[in-house]
Amino acid sequence: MENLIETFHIDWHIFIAQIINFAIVLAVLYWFAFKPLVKIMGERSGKIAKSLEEAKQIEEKLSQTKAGFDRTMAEAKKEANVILEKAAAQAEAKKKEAVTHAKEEIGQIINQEKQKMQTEKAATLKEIKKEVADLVIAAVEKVLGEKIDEKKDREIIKKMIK
Amino acid sequence: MKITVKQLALSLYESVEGKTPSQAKQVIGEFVALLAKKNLLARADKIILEFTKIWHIKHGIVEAQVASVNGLNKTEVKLLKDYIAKISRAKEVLLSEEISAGILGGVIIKYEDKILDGSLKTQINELKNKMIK
Repeated sequence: MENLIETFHIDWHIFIAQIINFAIVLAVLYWFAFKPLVKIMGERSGKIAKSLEEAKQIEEKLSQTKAGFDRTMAEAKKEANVILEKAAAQAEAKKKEAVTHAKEEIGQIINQEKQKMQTEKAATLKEIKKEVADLVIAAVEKVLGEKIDEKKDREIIKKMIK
Repeated sequence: MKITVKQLALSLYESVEGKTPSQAKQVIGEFVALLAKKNLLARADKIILEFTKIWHIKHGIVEAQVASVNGLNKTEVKLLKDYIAKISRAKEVLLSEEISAGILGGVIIKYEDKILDGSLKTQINELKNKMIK
């Protein structure tokens, strides 16, 4: 031990003084540097932990919101599908109704036209018959005018009153 | 109350019925005088027509008009008179003739409010109507 002290030229007084100095420096450093640093570090750690917690909460909320959004979207899609189906059914019904109505109208028009044509045909036929009858009667009158002499006329009269 | 033509004609008929011609003449004279007094002479024509109608009804006389193309001979007139008397149940038929070339043949008899149309023209028209139907 003594050899070691001699080898390194250690002076007890100086050594003790240095130890005291070191203790003072250590105390100063502890009070003015390490402690505030630890405090700051602790605060920082708390903040980080809080932030992490908040982030976690946000994430949870986000996931909840996403689930709600998905649920709402699904419901909305379902409702939209129902509405679309209803609209399609209504459109189909209206289409059918329109087709039926159109068919009825077409049927009516066809019937009216048929009736009109029949009436026109009948009128034309009547007109033709009348013209033919006029011609025939004119011919008959002419022939009778020539053929019926006084003798035949008197026979007709006698035949009538018998 | 206003006296109708029919009432006047009927009263004249009742006055002259059963009278001799001279008596009837006198009654008619008095009737005319009465009409003149009552200011009814303007209705004399109608009264005569109505009187004739009444007279014919009471005595079974029927007035008839016959239209033909060639006119009627005596035989036909007699036949027609008999025919009309038979169908109208008249005692006497007063026949008046009319020539109408338009009927083509046969006769048209009109008496009272009836028409017996036996003309060729009508028969031809009936034929025409059948053709058109």
